[in-house]
Amino acid sequence: MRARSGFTLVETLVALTISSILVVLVGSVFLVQNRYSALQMRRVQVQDNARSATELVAREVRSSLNGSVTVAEPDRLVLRSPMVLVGVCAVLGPNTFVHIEGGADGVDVNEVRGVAVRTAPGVWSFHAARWSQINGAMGGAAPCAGNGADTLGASREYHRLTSLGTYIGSSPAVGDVLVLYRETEFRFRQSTLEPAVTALYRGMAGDTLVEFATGMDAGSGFSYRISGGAYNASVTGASLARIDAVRVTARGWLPPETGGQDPVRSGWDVTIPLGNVR
Amino acid sequence: MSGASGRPVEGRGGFALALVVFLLFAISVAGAVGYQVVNAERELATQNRDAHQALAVARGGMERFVGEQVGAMADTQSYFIGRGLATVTARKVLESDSVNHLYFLRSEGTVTDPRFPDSPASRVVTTYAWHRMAPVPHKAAIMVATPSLQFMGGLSRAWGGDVASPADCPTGGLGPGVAGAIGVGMVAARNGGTLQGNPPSRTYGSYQAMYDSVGLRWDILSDPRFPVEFDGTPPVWSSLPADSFPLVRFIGDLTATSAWSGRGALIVTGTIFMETGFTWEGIILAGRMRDRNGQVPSVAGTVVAGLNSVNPGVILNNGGSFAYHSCNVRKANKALAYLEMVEGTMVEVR
Repeated sequence: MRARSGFTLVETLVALTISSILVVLVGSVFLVQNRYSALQMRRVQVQDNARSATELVAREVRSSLNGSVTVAEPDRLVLRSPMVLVGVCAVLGPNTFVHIEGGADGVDVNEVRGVAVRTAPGVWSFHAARWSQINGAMGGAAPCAGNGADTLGASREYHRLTSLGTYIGSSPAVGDVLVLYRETEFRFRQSTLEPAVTALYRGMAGDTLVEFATGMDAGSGFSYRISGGAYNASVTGASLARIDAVRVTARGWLPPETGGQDPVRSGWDVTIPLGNVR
Repeated sequence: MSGASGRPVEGRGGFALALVVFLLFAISVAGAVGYQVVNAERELATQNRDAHQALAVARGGMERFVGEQVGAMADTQSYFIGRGLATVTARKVLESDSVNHLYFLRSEGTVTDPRFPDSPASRVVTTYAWHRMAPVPHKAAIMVATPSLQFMGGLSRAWGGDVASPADCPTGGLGPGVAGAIGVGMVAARNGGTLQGNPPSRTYGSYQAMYDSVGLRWDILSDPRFPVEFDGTPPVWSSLPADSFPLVRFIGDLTATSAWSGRGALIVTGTIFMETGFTWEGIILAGRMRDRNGQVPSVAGTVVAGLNSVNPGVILNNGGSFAYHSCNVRKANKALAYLEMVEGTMVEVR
C-alpha cells in the first residue's frame, strides 16, 4: 500500500463543493424548521388568545342571572354578574340578617353595585345599591341562630345588612335568597400593547378596563339571542331583559412573522346561555 | 494507524464526523423546539379540559346531592364522578318552621392530573335549598284516586280525628283532625262502615287534582334507583331504635301480612293487598290498592293510594281500620324529606 500524506487539489475542491452543498442544504432545512416552529408558536398564541377571551366571557355570562345584561353592543357587553348569594335568616326592623358564604370578608365589597331579588321563578329584579349603603356591619349570628341557623364555628358568615328595603322596594322576607352583584364590562377594541391588533378588555365594577387576550381580529365581537329566537348584533331597551344567550365571536389574529407573508388566524363562535349553571 | 512503510496515515474521518455532529445538533434543536411547542399546547389544553371537567363535577355533585337526598340531612357528602371528586357540604341557615329548613350548599369539584397531583383543577358552585320534611300532606286517614271508595261492615273504618295524644308528641291530638277518606268520585260508608273526620269524606274533581293536592314526587320515590333504607324486605325491628321511622319500599305488588307490620314510610310501587294482622304506624304510599273482604289491617297514620294511575273502585267490606295519627305521619314524613333547590341560585363562585 502506498502511503498518502495529504489530499490533492482536486480532492479538496470536490470535498469543498460537496460540503458546501451539504451545509447549504442543512442550513435551509434548519431555517425552514425554525420558521415553521415560529409559525407554530404564533398559532398557539393566537389560539390561546381566542380561548382565553372565550373563557373570560363565558365564565361571567354562564353565572349571570336572566335579565343581567345592561349593554348589548357588537363590541361591548355589560352585565350584572353575581358576586355572592345571600340567604336571609332574620329580619328585625330595618335590619336584615343574612348568611354570606365566607363572610363579608370573603367578598370584595367595594365591587358591589346592587342586590338582585327573585320575584318569580326565573325572574329577577335588580336594584342598585353600594355596599356602604347597605352594610350594617358584623353581628348577624345571634338573630340567625335564634331562627335555627347553624352558626357554630361560622359566626363570621352571618352579617347584618341595613335599610335594604329602601333599595329593593320592600324589606326582604325571611327565607329569601338574594344576590349581590357587580357590573362587569367586556369590550373588543384596539390594543394598547400592540396597536396593530384588537384586544379584549375587561372592567369590573366601573374600574378602568384592563387588557386581556391581546391579538384578536377586528371581527371579534358579541351577538345576543332574545327569548330563544334570532341573534342580534345589538339589543336595546326592554329587549335587554329578554336576552337569554350571548354568542362570543372570538377571532385570534396576529400579523405575519418577520419575513412571512400571511397573518395567523384562528377562532370560533361560542354560545353561552345566561344562568346555565342553573 | 500506520502504513506498510511505517509512516502514519492521516485520518480523513474528521470532516464527516463534524458534519454528522452538526446535523444531529440541528435535528435536536428543531426537535426540542417542536416538542416544546406541542407540549405547551398540550398542557394548556389539558388544564383547560380539567377546569371544565371540574366545573361539570361540581355541578354533578350538587345535582346528585340534591336529587338523592332523602330523610335526614347529611353535612358532607363526596361523589366520584368521572375523573373527579365532588365534595358537597351543607349548612343550615334557617328553620322557617319545624318542617321547612333552608340550607346553604357548596359543591367543590376537583380533577387531578396525575402528573401534577399538587395542583388539581378546582371549581366551586353554591346554591341554597329548602329541606322539606313534610312531603306528604296531612289530608285524610286514607286517600285513594278512585271513582268509588266504599266502607262496608262494622270492621271498615276511616277515622280522621287525630288518634295521637300529647304523650305521643307535643302536637298530638291538638288539631281538628283531617278528613276521614278522600276519593276522586264517590266516597261512602254502608252497612255499618264508619266515616269520621273533618269532614268525614271529600272528593276531588279529577285524578290530576288529587295528585296535585298531594304533591308527591311519586315518579322519583317509585324509581328503583332511588335509594331507600330498606328495599324489598321489612326491617328487623328489634335492631332499630324504638323511635326510628324508616323508609321501606317494595317494588311490585305486595301482600302485606303481619310480617310486614311496622312503622315509618312504606312505599309499594304496585298494588298493596293488606291482610288481617298487618299493622302500620306512619305513612303508606301505594301505586294501587284493591278490594278487601274480611281482611282487617290496621293503619295509624295515613294511606295514599292510586298513585300509578286511576285506581279501580275499592270496596272495603269489613276491610280494615284506617285512623289518622298526626305524630306517626310527622315522624314518617321525615324519612321522606327531600331537598328543593331555590331556583336560579346555583352559581359558580370560583
